[in-house]
Amino acid sequence: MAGIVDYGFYIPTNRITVKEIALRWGKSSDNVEESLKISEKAVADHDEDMVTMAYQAGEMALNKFDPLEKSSVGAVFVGSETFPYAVKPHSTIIASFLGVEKNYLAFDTQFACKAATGAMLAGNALVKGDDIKYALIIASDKANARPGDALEYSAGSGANAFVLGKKNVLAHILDWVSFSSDTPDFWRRSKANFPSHAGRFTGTPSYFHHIISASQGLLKKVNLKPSDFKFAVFHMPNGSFPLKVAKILGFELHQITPSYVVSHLGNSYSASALMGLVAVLDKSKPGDKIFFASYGSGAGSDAIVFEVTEEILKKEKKFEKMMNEKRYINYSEYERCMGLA
Amino acid sequence: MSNPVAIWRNKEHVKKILNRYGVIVSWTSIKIAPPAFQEEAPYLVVLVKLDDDEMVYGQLSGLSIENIFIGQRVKSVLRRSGKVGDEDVINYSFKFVPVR
Amino acid sequence: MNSIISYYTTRFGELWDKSLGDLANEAFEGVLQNAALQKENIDAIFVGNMLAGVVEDRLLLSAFLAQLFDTNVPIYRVEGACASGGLAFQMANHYLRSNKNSTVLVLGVEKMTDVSGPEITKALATAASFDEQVAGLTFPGVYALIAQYYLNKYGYTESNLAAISVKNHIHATYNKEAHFRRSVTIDNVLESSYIAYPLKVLDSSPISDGAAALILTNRSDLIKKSKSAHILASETATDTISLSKREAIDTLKATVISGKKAFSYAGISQKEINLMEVHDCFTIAEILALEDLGFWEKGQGGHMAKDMVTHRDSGNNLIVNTSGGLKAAGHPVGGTGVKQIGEVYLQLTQQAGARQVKQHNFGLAHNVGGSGGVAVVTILGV
Repeated sequence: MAGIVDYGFYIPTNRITVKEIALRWGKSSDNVEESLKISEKAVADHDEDMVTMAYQAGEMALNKFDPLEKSSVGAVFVGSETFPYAVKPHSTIIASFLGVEKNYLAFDTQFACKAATGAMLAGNALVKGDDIKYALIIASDKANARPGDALEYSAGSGANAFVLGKKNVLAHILDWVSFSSDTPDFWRRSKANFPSHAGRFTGTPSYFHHIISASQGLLKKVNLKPSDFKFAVFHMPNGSFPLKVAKILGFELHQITPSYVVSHLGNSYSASALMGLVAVLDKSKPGDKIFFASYGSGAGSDAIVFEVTEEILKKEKKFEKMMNEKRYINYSEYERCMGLA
Repeated sequence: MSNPVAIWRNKEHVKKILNRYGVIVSWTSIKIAPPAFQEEAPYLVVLVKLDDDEMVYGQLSGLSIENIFIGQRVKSVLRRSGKVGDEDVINYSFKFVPVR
Repeated sequence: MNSIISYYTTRFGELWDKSLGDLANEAFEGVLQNAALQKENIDAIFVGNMLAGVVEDRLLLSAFLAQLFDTNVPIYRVEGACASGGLAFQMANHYLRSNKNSTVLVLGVEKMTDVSGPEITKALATAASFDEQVAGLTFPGVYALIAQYYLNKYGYTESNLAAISVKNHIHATYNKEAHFRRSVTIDNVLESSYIAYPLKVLDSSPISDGAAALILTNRSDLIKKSKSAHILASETATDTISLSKREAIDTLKATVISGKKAFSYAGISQKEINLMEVHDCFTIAEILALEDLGFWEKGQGGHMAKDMVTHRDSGNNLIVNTSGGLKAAGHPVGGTGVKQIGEVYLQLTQQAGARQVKQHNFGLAHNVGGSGGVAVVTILGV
């Protein structure tokens, strides 16, 4: 059985508080914090983008690989919604800096916030079918939002990377279900700088409908109930949606709390749900089952069940440390970081 | 640097320096900068002695003129380098960050 | 023996109404006139210029100047960044060593103020290495790394550097061709804004336009009838373009080597030099120059600078940068090396007017290109 052999992540050190953003727009931060359940978010620096963060996450995921093993990485898939090029693969830039040379299948994927989880399932299939030995899947976003838009409170930065393989797997991918439809809840036209969204339409018919459909389908398929899982991870566009969807699906608060990083990191788009996954992998023990469901606007959800193995005991745990290495920036520094100034 | 071929050629050098550790031998904060770096000024540039004694320059992120010091341990990371036009190839290079 | 028989310099400064050609022509005609020679007496011309190719897209300077001067003699353009002028002189001296009964003209010229601040910063950074440029290092930035290292290693502060600027500004008040003819205080220097920490505006030589010219000859008839100074040595050495690849951060090896060669060739010692023009593109550079040329012990320069031991009024036997140096007399890069030698010539031949220091027999000029990638040391005697 295939699964995650190793993983890495990157959280930039800059943080801006929701209070600081609210102050800029003359809003009461109490109301914003209460409704979004976010207190601060991680912000990539002015010279960071999805490529540089993807490299840092990928480097962590591959740091046990010697050059020979790196050459057996047969696929590099990178998901994002903030690619700096409209035409030119980012997967090759990242692979090159990571030292993955050169017999690999590469492509970039976009599907809003689930750009990378679809790539993960594709990579898993290639590994399972023995087409390749390892697949490297990276999610990375320097999520942006129109200044003053509600999205500005949540859109954060971050990246994570997963090496999929069959040997020394630390979390098996037991099964998955995907659910997709044409639902225009959130989009960005090719030449637009900022994404647009359809307000409350992003909720019930979009986020909830797709995650619930994929999740219920998967629970049925694997014949497990919510209580069989140690952890549950859902896409975190804000602080309230994942709590609500967990409750609807029958998960308890203690199952979702360990993955609930949005309140302190914000929504790093394609890296958001997967950031929850690495957070719980860092806390997991052999035998733990993890229920995971991403969501990508437009729209779709990939629900996946992971089972943690003994290999997890060998993994150095760094998530808490990186999450707590932070410095607070003000709004004008934030503008500089995001290229808004 | 905005020539795609020069950027491509230089990448091998960048790869060699990436993800390495060293200490700051000297540093400066550039206030008057060439056009490609003007928007970033002031920025810190450090001369670093890597652990294998190789000496390299790089910009430094994550510290300021108030808390940088000679002897600070640093690590090289991937960052964008310099401003390029909207239609140009992006130059990725190494920069340094403090190791805490 | 090869001798200098004439010198002319334009004013240094922001000369808005003068083009590169105007400056070159003024120096060319001026130096001939001072020597009472015609251009027909000149066998070859050596031109030091760094930036014409970068800031005004002008190369083949030789033909440009041939047209301007209405001549067909060989013209050699020499580029050694800020040492272009010194290097042109060094080559002219070599030319004379192998050509008897010859007279050559050395011209250093630079037009710098036609482009914006960022543009000239970029142009000067072309003398930095590739790895320095891609790191966003500027030319002042490289010297700032040296300064920071030096201050930290020997426990000095920015005020030790500032004293160099104060001294050179005072010297420039006696020089009517200087870019700046005003004195500054230590506080003025310390309060001026940073260019590249710890170097500030008043630690730095300015962006200047200007040209200077010398006539060199080995014709004894010309030497006899002119106020002349002998060229005892003019030696050059090179080093890595990148500071990071050097053996030491606070030693310019090119200066050390060219200095040793020059003293050896001239057959004199440091003690016999009473007058010097050294390359103070930044205050730290004058300290390094005195140390690397063997006048001060390494690491002692900070104290010496603060005590202003080379001030014209110090009563000491070594006065440095009587012209005001690059700092205050101005630094039209290609012109500087020629002006330095011209200043030593004027002082040795008692033609320095208001800034004349007492009678001396030997003087030295020290010119550096880049952050120490090339150096030229010239020793004159009367």
